[in-house]
Amino acid sequence: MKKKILVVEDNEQNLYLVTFLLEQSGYEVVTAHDGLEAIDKTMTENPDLILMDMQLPEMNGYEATKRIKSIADINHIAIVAVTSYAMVGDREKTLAAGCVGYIEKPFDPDNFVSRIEKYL
Amino acid sequence: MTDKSISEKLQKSIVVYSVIGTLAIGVIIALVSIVPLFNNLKKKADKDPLFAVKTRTLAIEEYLSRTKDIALQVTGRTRIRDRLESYNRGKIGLDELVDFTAPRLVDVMNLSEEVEGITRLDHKSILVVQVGLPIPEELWQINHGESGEVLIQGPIALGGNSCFIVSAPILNRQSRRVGTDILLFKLTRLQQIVKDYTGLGETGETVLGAIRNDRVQSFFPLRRSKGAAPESFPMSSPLGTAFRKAVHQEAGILKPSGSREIIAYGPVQGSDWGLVVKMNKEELYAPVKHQIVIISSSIGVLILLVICVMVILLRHLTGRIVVLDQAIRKKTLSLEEELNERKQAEDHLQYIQSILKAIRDVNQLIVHEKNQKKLLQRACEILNQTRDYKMVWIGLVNDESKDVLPVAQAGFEGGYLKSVKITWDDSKTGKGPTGKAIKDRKTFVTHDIVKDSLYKPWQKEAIKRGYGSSAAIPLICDDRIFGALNVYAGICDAFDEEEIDLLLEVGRDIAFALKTIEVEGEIKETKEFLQSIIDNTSDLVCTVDLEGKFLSVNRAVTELLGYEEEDLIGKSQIMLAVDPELFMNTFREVFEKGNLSDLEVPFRRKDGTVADILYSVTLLRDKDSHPVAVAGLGKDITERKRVVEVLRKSEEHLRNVLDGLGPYMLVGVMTPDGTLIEANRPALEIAGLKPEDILGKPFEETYWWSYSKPVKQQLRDAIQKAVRGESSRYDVVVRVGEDRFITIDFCLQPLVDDADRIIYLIPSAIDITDRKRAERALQEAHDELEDKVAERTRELALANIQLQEMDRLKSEFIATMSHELRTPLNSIIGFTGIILKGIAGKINNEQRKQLSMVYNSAKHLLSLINDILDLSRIQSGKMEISAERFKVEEVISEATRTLSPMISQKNLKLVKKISGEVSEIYSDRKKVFQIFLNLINNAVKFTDKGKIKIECEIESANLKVCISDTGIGIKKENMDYLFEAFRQIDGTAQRRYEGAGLGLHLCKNLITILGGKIWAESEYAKGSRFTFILPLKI
Repeated sequence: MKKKILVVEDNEQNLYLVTFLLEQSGYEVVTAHDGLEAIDKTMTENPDLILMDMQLPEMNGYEATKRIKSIADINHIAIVAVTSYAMVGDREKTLAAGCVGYIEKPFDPDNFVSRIEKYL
Repeated sequence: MTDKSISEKLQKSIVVYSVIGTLAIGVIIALVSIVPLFNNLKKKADKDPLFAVKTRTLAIEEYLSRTKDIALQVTGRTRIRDRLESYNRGKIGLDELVDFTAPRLVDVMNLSEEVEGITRLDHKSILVVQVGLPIPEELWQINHGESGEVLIQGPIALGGNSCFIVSAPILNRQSRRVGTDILLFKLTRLQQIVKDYTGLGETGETVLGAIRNDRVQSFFPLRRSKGAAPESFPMSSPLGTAFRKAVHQEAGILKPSGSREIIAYGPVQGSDWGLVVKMNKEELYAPVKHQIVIISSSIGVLILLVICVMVILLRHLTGRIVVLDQAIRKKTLSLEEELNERKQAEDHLQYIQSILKAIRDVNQLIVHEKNQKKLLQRACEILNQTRDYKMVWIGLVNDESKDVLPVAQAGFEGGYLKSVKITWDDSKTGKGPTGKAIKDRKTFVTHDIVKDSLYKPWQKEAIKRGYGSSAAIPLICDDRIFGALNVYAGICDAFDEEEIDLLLEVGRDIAFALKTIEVEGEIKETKEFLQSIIDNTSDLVCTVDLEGKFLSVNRAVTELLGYEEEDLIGKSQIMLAVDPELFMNTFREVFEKGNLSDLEVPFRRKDGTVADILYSVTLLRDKDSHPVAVAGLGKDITERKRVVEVLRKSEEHLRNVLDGLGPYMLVGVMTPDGTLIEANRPALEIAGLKPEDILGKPFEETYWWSYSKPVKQQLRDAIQKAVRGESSRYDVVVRVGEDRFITIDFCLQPLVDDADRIIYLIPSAIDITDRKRAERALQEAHDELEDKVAERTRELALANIQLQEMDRLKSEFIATMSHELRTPLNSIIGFTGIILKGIAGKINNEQRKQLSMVYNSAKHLLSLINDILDLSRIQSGKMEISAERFKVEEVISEATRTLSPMISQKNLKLVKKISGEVSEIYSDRKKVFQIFLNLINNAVKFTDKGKIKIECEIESANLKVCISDTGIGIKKENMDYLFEAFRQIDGTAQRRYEGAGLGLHLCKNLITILGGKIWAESEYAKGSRFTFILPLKI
């Protein structure tokens, strides 16, 4: 049974990059382009892991993460922040929102998959 | 239980041995009786064939005598005998004889079936008449001897039949032989006799025969032979032997060896024949054997029966032994128990007595021994000797360290007390028996050291020494715990309640002794202490009796007066008096008043000089208030008097100086408690005061200061500071009259003696009222200026707020920019990475090279963004420090490892020289790493050949690091801009070496916020050397 990963990312190039890397490693990937779609997809697809960009249109990643964590059926799903925010406190903010991990963009394609696999 | 089984075993063995014995005896008896019986029966059976021989020979002999009778009947017939006689005499012819005789003989022959033929011979043994079968002449036997014996001869074969011949002489009335009759008999009858096998079984054989021509000739064919012809046997055969013996008229049995047959033989009387009976041994003995088997089995059954009966009887009999044995054993056991109980009671009594003796001994010891150590040691020994304890020790408590210090010990200890740590605190070692006994003030018994978990910390050592159980008894007296008495026994559960009670008593006695020793020690110490005070005091102490004679003097007396102690004791005190009158008066007066003090009495020294003594005397009384002696206490004040004089003079001098200081110099003296004891004349005059108005008063309550609470408080603070050794100086307004104040420059200083003790506080002041006034004017001018400055500052602050806003905007811009730049960079780095790894498909070398460039450029761009971000953080003060302890060397290794591809690519030599004292520092690891990485990276970047050297050392609580290279170096004029942002010094270098020029700037900033500093030295074209220091602890 393939593990399903929801990738939330508004930048098409980056979305393609992450999808490519994950599918290469044999994961099923579903995508969302904004925070609202992310919540929607989480409810319908019930993924094993969510990779969440923080700067998103409609609803940002922090808010989307908080919402997902407040919904009883899906709040068990681990959310890993994948973001290019690199200022002091960004990491703390994501963890406070309910993420279990934090991957800074740009990431190294060589070890990206092994880094997210820790949370599966 | 085992005892019981012993008696049962005995029972069993008796039965078994009896059975075996009986069986053996039965078998032996049976064998002894059966074997002879068997032999006898065999012998009896042997006689059977002999008997058969006898019966048969008898039958044959009877038959033969019958044939003889027949022969004699023939010969005896007178008519034919007479005819023969007549013939012999020639009276009748042969024919007449034959005619007459032949029919008669035929009649005879016909009368007997067995006679086959008769031949009559005349007296000359010439055949005269013959009837029946003729008998050949060679068989005629006519030699009948004188008695006229009838002869039997045979067997002979005649006309295919076996016959035998009987020859009888024919005797006349005068018994003279007139002829011979020869009768030929058939063997039929004989054969009947011989072939009657009755009693000879299946295999028995009867042989009738005679010896002819050295062979045994049998009359008839043998039973078993098929042929009908009689057989002959050689003489050498067993049969031959038997026949030989039979012919010699012997009868008997032969048992030829190696043959299964028995041969019986016997002669046939009246002939030369013998009869032999052969029988198979087995057949012969078969009935015997049968009999023996029956007898044996009967005996066997009998033995078994006997054994069974015996077993039943024995069991019955020995069962009673078992019962008896058990009864005895029960009795023995109860006796043993009784004995044991009695012995235990005796032992118990003995051991109680031994402990009572120990208590007695310890109590005696307590009375006699006053040395604590010896006492405890002896007590341990007594206890150890009294009872068979393994070891006894006493530990005393140490209230501070909560240790229990072993002070005495007896018995086998083997370093145990040194090997273990015993305390009575709350740690693990304090929860042991000793610790508990001391803490809880209760006896603590460990019944089994091996099993008791509380004993864990000491268990190993204790077991090694064979301790099985222990008791820890607290030493308590009057609610005070002195320590513990510990007793170890070699066995478990060695201590019962009684013993513990007795030990507790010993413990109480020892504690009492310890207390007593302590009290006595204290008294003694106090005494010695007092004596030593008396001996060592510089005051004179003496006692005199009621007559005024010295009883004792202390060292001070002898030293001061120059006499030896023995010069004075027993002598009258008058010898020391300068004024005997005064002396005597004083002495008398003390009897009236009881004591006199502070008398100034001059004493004469041995050398004649006079010592001034401040003298006090006290009358000493006994319990009933009777005066017993007078004690004198004196102080040598000779020197003091002299010093006082000198002081008085110098004080006068000083006072003159202070008073003459001029109207503006105000000086005073205070004791350290703040009481004014002196003030100079100007100080008094300025306020119109007299000395008595102020001297002896607390300084702050004097006229000058008392007008205002704050002023008083300020002065009190200054006095307190001065008492602590600090001086104060401040301007203050003091009162000098009604509504009259002056401003003084006030100073308060402590005055210390040689030993740095504060003896006086010196207040001093200068009147600066005029100067103050001038200052005030100046101040006003200054204030005006100040206002202007303030206004300007407000303007500047406003501008600053605007600047801060701009700064915030800048930071925000940088953060956003950083984010916006990172997003596309992510896909650039990501995809180039994927393509370079060949995940997306194969690429050629040129593509790979170019893509690598893209990849590296993107990475470089990322590092630039990171640098800018860092810089922005530093500038906005947002850079946070997270300090931790880490190893410097590790960080250096990490940085060089990161750069090693570059270093090896440029073929540079990397030298690390880290002093041994450099180890850990407490700082921000990430930032220190960044500093090293930047500086080493710079060195590598600007060096094409040669080496990079990293040196580390500790210099006055700082880590000092030098990173030097043999690179292009820095021109002197550029040194000043080295650490500025966006500077890469050399224009040409800018082209050759990529970088935003942020590295050194960032380094400097990082080092600064970590509390260190950085500087550089360089010689152009030779190399650079960057040195930075960081505090070991931020």
